[in-house]
Amino acid sequence: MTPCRRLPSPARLRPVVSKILACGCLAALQAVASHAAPAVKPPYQLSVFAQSENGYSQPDSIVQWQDSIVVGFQNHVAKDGSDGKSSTIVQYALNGRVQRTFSVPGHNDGLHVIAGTNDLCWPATPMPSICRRAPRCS
Amino acid sequence: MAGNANAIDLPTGATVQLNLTDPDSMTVDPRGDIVFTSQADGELVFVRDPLTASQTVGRLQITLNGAATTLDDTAFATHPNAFLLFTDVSGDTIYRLDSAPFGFEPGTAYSGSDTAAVLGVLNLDNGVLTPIATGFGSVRGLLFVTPIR
Repeated sequence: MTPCRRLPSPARLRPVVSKILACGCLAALQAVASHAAPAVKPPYQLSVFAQSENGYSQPDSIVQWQDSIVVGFQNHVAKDGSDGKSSTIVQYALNGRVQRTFSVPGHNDGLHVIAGTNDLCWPATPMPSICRRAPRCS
Repeated sequence: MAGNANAIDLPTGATVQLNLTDPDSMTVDPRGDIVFTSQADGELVFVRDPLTASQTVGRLQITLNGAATTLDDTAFATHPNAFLLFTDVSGDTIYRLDSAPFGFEPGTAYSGSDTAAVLGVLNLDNGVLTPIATGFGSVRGLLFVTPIR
């Protein structure tokens, strides 16, 4: 069985975020699309957790699944799934590192973790909702 | 709950009839109420004691800078040490928001507007969204992540 890791505190994550920013994500942040650059009011602090890559785009739904973050990428799939394309579900570590990706036929709009079983479920129109069992923890 | 159910307009206490055209994201507030966004209608709907004889429905219409606006998702701060993740669907980015030095006030509602492209603090008494972060493409999912100590 896989041991469950304790979630790092924000203070422990900040150096990682700083490295991410230093390695070029800040430039990407400033170059996002055609709208104004993101700005935040104090005392809040804004940083980039992750960005689209490797052929997946349009991050939408987001949920925590044990010690991972899971995001549904809509990939410009038609809302009714009629174009036959697939969405992508990406599982991240808490520092934004990609752990796994799943290709899901249809248009994903929503993620859900079932209390008790910790099953992660994703609807993807027009397909029935699919659930995946969380890894067991020792 | 029917899309045309009666509800209490939270700022005024008046009874109104809902006309939900776009129910979307759903969460639970710190009081245990179901909270869902009727996105294109620019309102949040609160449901207390769902599916019971005492089920009560509340409606909160959302405004930004004095005008109606739409929300995609709302999240409630869970813990001072939590951080907030949110997605920008057209910006192809997932952002992290921290609050220093004291952290997030537990129970405070944060909402993202898909059309106004802002992240803000939502006043649950009057529905006013006060922007705290701007300049996005279209804000969508929100998630507070609470570290385990």
